[in-house]
Amino acid sequence: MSAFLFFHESRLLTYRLIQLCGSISGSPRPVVNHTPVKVTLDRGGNLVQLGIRADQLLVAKTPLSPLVDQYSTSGMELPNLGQAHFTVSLETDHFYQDIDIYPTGNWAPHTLVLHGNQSEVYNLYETPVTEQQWLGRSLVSSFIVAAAYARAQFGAGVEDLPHPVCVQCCHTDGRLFHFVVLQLNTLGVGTELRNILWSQPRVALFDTCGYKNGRPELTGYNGDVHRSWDRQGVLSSPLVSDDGWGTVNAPSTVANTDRVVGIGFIIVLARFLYQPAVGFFRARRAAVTSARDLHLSSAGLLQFSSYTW
Amino acid sequence: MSFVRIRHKNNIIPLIRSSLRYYSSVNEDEYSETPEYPPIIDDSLDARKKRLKLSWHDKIKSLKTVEEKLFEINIPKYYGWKCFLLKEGVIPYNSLDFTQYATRTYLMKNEDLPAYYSKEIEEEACCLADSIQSQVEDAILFETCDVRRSYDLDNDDSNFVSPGEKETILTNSMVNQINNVILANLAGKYDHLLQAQVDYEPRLESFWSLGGLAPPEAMRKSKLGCKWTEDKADEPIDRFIQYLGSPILQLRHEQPLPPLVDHSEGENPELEVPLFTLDPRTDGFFQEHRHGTNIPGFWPGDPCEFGLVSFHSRGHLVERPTSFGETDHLEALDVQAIFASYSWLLAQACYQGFSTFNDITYPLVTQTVITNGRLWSFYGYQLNTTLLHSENAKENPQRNLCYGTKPLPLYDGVESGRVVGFNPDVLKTLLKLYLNVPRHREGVELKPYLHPSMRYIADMKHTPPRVWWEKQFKHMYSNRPRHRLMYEIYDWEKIYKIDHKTRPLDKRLRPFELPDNNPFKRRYNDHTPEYMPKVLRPAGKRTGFFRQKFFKTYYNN
Repeated sequence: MSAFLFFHESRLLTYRLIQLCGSISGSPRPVVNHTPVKVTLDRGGNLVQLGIRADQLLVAKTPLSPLVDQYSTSGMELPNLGQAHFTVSLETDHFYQDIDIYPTGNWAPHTLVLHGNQSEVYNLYETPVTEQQWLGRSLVSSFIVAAAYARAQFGAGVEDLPHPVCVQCCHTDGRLFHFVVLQLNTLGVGTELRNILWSQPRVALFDTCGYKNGRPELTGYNGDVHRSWDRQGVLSSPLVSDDGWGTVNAPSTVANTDRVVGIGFIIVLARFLYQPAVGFFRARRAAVTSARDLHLSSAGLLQFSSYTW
Repeated sequence: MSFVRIRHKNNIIPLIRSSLRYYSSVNEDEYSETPEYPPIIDDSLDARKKRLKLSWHDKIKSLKTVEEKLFEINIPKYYGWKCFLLKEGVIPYNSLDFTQYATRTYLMKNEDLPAYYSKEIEEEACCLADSIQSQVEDAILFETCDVRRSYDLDNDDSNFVSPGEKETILTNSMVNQINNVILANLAGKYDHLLQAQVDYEPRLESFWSLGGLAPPEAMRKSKLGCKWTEDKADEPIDRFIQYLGSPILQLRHEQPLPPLVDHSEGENPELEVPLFTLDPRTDGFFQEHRHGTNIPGFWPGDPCEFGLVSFHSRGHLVERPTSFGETDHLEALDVQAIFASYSWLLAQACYQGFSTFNDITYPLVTQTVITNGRLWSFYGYQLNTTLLHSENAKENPQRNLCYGTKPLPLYDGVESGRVVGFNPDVLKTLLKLYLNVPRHREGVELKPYLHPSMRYIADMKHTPPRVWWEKQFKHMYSNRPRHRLMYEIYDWEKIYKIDHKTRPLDKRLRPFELPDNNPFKRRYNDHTPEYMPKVLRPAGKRTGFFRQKFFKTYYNN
């Protein structure tokens, strides 16, 4: 059960958190809101078009540097789907355009903030969305953004990328946050190279945040979430090289920034309780498939390992 | 005192019930040189009606919490007040006069904002403008050249986006980016910007009563038809106005901005406010039955309750007919700014315990920016009074003040990846708005009409009324249609029974034909309470009068 029913509630939360991080770091990243990203892939004769609405895409002039060597994971074994074909749960459509969409030209994707709310993300037959599906959604979305950027940079027919593309993703439903980093090494089928995904288990930002018995209540605030934002470089983290709008004002110390951002996060959440809903909501369907079903670019490797930075 | 006359033969002895003795409140030993008469209360119909109205206003003043005050304004009408619905961006031709009259605003247009921004702010703004100019230029380039927007990328024809909406989308992004840049650079040095709350596309709604308007024909006729109201048929009436805003971005802080000018400046009779006493329908505004809502973008209880800056889009001008002319387009910006500023300030004032019937005791200030990314208009607005109902619309000595600039270009254009004609003065003016530091008002009681320990529903100690009030307040403010709507009057009934009485022999069964059945007189609390199923009733069988068949309600009757 997601915390917020509608997209605009969790959107408001992440908008404010990004603004807060930008204010504290001193160099905000350009953010593109609510933009479509699409990539069309040919997988063994099957044309697969992957597309998302990138709720917030933070971009940077210089791309994120790769975390590991491109060839370090070559030849590693991929999950076996058994008898199932990888397109088994995808819907077919005869009306499409064979295009790739990457919205920000030469600006490299830095972090994708993706929302998944109850009213938008659901299974076709109304079974509950499982944890695996949720984790898979983060993977697919990061892949789409990375692949679209790679195609835009290196050409539409590129298979093994000249140098890897790294994308971070924060997938949230308002309460639970899922942080992943994807290193895209290849878009080809049948190559030795593997793409790498680092993922943390989902963490809750809070237990409850809402009106209870007539009073606004925020319980169980978890400071680890903002530290993950910090590490992801939504702030200008010294760990990941990039630049925002020009010169980078280095934050004083990571520890101090932690504290300030932590307090800021609590304040943002507490104030978030006082936000009335605006306008009407139009439900949009997103085809949700599990990570097992979708055999991404046969060279994709899921490596669920908890990372510590 | 009562007498019981007992006939006892020939004597009539009055028997006084001595236990019932009434004492006069006047001390009969008190003496003064000149007689002190109590005030002679005017007993005319007008005066009595006015006293009734004022007693309702006093009731609103005496309520303890913000939500109860806001709720009480809508209690007299079950189906909502008939009000003029003004939406941001829908600005009819030649509506500046009405706007100024409706908000009692004196408008002054200048090259630059008033000189109340101190020299220090000026100098700071100059330095900062130089240092962040490159980042702002990058933001402009990014938004205009580098981003491909969803309306260009999505080839679905069913999602048609008009030119005005496209401009609004672009403005939205641009304002967000520039705001992020400014806050990132300034928040480190200025605490008030770090503490400020940023609202994205908040819900801004405001409701006030405007007096001195000409009565509509239907009202005139109904007054002429009645003996004791026929000489008042042409008297001006009050109408409610509901404004629905759509700001891009708003910044709020815990402390209010310092006043632009002294509160007494608002009483200067030279600051003229135009008179517009015609029915607003003549200007192109429409009416609706609606519960009045006053929301400044957040629910009551949020600590950041005073506004700093508000950004609005001028995308609506793109779709305004060009036949209106350039002057009217510029006036439309002023209209947008005045309504947006007044509404936000009124809503903020309501959260301090004031209302459209209880005047504010200190001035409130906001800064408004209307932009499309390239052209920027800056306005400073000071709210000196919220009292506009009845005779106050013309006779209120106080005026609200609005200082504005004409649209100023931040840059001329973008060519081959470079911003052409960047104007740093506009950036300086924008920075001056951010550098205006909100301050604690010394010696001013900010919430004189709120209870000191129970300002909001959340402060109520007893749980059942608190839960009930929170739910009811949010329900009223959602403006969802009533569960059972107003009954319909069919067209033929309107023609043959109401407008022209051609069917005298028909049995009078319809609701509008029955006496004392005016649905518009129904009050908000005039309904059967919610039924309590037996499983939820308190243990122990109670009968008759004591059984709890319905859930309790906590209306302030």
